[in-house]
Amino acid sequence: MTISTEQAAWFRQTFDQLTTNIEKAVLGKRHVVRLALTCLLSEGHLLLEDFPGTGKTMLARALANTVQGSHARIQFTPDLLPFDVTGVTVYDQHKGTFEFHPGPIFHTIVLADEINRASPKTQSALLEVMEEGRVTVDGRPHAVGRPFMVIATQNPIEQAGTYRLPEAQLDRFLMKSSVGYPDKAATIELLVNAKVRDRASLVTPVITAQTIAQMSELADEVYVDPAVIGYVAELAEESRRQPHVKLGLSARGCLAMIRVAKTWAAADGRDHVLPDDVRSLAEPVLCHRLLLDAEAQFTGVTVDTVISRLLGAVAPPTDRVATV
Amino acid sequence: MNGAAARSRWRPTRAALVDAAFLLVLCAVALVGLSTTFTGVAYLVVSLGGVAVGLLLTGLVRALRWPGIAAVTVALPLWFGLGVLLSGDSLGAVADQVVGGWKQLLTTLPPVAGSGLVLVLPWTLGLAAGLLGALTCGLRSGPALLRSAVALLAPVLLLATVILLGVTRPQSLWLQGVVFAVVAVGWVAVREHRGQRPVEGSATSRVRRTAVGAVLVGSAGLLALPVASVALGSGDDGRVVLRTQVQPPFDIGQYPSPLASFRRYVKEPAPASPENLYDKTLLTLDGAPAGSRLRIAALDLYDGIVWGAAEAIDPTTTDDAFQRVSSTIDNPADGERVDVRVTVGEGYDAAWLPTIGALQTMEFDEGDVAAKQESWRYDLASRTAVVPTGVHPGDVYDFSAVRSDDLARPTDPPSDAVNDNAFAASFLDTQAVQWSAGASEPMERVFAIADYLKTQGKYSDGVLQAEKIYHPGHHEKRLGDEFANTPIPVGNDEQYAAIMALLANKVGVPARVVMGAVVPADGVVRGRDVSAWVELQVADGSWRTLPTETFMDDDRPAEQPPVTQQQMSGTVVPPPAPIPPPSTLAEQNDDELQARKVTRDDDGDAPGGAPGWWRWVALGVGLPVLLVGLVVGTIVGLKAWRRRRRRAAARASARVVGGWRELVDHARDLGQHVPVGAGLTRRQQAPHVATPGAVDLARTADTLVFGPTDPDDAVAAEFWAMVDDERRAMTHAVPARRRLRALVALRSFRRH
Repeated sequence: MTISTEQAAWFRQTFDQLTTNIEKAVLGKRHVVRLALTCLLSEGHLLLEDFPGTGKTMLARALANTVQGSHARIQFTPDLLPFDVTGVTVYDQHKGTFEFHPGPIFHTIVLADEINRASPKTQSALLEVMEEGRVTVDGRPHAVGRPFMVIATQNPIEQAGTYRLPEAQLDRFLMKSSVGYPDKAATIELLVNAKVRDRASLVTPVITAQTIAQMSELADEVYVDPAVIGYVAELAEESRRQPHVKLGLSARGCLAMIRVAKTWAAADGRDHVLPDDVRSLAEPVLCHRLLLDAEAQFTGVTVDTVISRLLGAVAPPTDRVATV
Repeated sequence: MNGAAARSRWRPTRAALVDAAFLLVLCAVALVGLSTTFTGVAYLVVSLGGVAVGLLLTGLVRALRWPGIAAVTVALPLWFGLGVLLSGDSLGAVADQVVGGWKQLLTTLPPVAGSGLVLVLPWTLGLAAGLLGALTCGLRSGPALLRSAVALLAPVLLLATVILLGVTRPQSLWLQGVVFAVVAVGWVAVREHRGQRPVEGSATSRVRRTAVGAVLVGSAGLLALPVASVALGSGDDGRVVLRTQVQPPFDIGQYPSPLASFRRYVKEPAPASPENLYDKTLLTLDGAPAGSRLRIAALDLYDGIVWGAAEAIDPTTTDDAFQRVSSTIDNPADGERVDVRVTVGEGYDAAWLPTIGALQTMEFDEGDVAAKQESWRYDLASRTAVVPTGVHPGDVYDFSAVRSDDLARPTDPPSDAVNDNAFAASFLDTQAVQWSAGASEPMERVFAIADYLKTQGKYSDGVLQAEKIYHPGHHEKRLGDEFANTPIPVGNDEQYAAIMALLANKVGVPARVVMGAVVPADGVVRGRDVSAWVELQVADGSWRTLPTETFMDDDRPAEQPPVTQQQMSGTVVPPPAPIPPPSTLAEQNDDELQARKVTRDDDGDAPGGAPGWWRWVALGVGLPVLLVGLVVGTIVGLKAWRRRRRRAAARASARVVGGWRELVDHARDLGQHVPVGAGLTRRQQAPHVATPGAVDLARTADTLVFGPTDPDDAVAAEFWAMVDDERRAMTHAVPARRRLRALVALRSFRRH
């Protein structure tokens, strides 16, 4: 069953409403906001990598505030332990039983601030919950509820005392993006309203967690023509053939691309995905999934270069696949 | 535009210069293949000049930012102008040469003299290759490899043309093929290298690319050896060239005059030579009444050496040409109808097909029937036939004809037609007057001359020991000094018929010599029966026979040589003149062909035809207009075909896709800078199409193409209607001049 035109229009209207709401806190970053919302509605997780002071945390908090659900912030530090994230089982002397005390991960939206400062052991504690939506403590699984989204931030320039996220962990993020510095107009507005210390507090919940789940289900129903699916598959194959690429796009990456493209199409009020959607989302979806070899750094080849070449090498389909 | 930008526009880029150099070298290598076709190196200089002019013109047009087609348009007058300068001939001759010169070149035995009008051909080849090469080099869209391949199109086409125009066994075949292949691959490698992104310009990758390039060029060189061997032909049979495929134009003048070899039919003292046909059976006729005149050849043009057959001599009819005919001939004539079956005997082997009277039907029964039926030709005016493949012993054919052997009478009014034979007989002015003394009317003078010859002349075949001073042949010396200017003219049918026809023409009666035989009672025509007589044209345009016996007696000359010959004793008697007509076309040289052609062309400008200047104007103006019209028509036709193909695609979604492309192509032809290429989507192109509905059309197309349901025919038709509306709107939004340019613009052919 495919999403109807009316449903697509409602989806678009709601999506625009959410975007406008978050833009109260994050000025002049509509595209990044839409990407973050797309990630949320695709039931994926977002990795924000940017310089300090660009509004990564602000975006994450505003996104959390716009949903009528719980949210938590975990400041990752080198001494953070796994159970500080997942929770811990404690013995109740009165009842004589062990009780599970949920950690901060058990919220609708979790902000994992400066995730690369935590030890790999703590980082890996996020692996299971990000992929399967549950935490296993002392052999007992604990579901985190729906919707659930991890927004992680990391700083690209401070390398001392940080632990680079392993590829397996990176692959679990649906998208990676950067906020970037605000433009001149946004900066002026920010300074004019400097008395507002916490702009995220301006964002009030406008949607329930149930509606978010409902929108996710609708996005799943968006039609993807076999020609577009073939285009994604060709991009994946070509990514593995590109020079200087050690690790190309995985099958999980392809699935992520399709999922995100569906939500992106619905956010545009369409009931079908276009090759343009795939091209628009290629960078945030692929950039953290492509691993370059050592020579790339010396020859000046970056991930952005590779993605640009990739899109140039694989022609998008212009016609649907003929059915017999 | 500032001054620096304007200057840089006129300065060719390094890449353009490299491309031009490669193109010039490849064309030179290809053109070297014509060295066995032309003599000298003038052809090479001229053709390479053409390539250079083509390159310069295209560069100029690009600098002016005119459409590519402008180069072709500018090249036309330049082609004419330089063509006239190179050939030293007229504009009309240059135009004629480019149309008919190719066939003439292919049907002339190489090498052809590389000077004069024939240089128009290599000039045209070079200019066309230069224009095409420069235009294809400048393509900017499409994959790099494909662009390189397209750039090779012009030199490869030139090479193919050179091979086709060349000879079966050219010189330096291997060297030419290998050099061409290596230079071509080198060029592709250079263009590929140029297309690489600078980010990969590290020393490591550069070394690797160089190594790969070297291997590629080396491999191409090795591959070129067998390729050259196969593609250019190195087998025993030689390669395939047009020269072996093109039939030379039919030219009756190429066949030798049978009158010149009349002595083969006379009685020789024993032992006769093997070539002598006196006693041999030439033809056996069944159904032909005795006394019928069997026509072998009608010889209607005297060139001072020989009476030969020609076309378009008789100005009173347009039928004086050897035309292909079917088995039935529309040839009305009065007289007795005869059905004859002819069996060719051992003594007859020639191209002339003997017939009687006015031919009505013809059927070949034996001896390569299909080929003969296909190729035989008949001249209604001279009532003679030829079979280009030859009539050979054993052949059998049937024909029906109308016998109308009307004899000429002194009272017949002669035709007032004039031909060159009268002028050719100027060496007989005195005889024409003296021998017709007493007669005033032309026909009477003819009979007076005939009577003089019959009474004063003597008969000799010149084969007896005492008569060997009477030479064969009927050239001017033989007919003048050795016949007419002697006290007693001596000769046989050859000399008598030849001089009789000449004198008749001289006194104003059109005449021709007919060689044939009077059919004997048993129907078997032997060499002894062969004779030559004269036919005279009368006022109604028909021809009347002047039998041999009218102007030739059979009295033998005295045993003693004539006085003039006695006076010549002690001098060396010149040998008989050789028979000039070539036995095959290959023995003719191109100059003769040219001369013959020019003579014919001049004949065509006879009184009553269009004035020469009018023809030049028609050629000078009409041909360029025609060529431009052809180019424009081709472009417009291709666009219409492309639009129709897109609109009629099998699937509705493909029709929608085609509709969008049509819109983009139209926008590009109108001069809009719409990006195209395999990596672009409709939504990316839409903002660049300057029409308000373009974005909506792109969205609609995307929805129809990638939506959950297949579009149906009606939806596709509706989409095309929207496309047509937008196209119209775009067209009306630009001035008329740009609309016209859009009509012939080639930009949209550079692919999506």
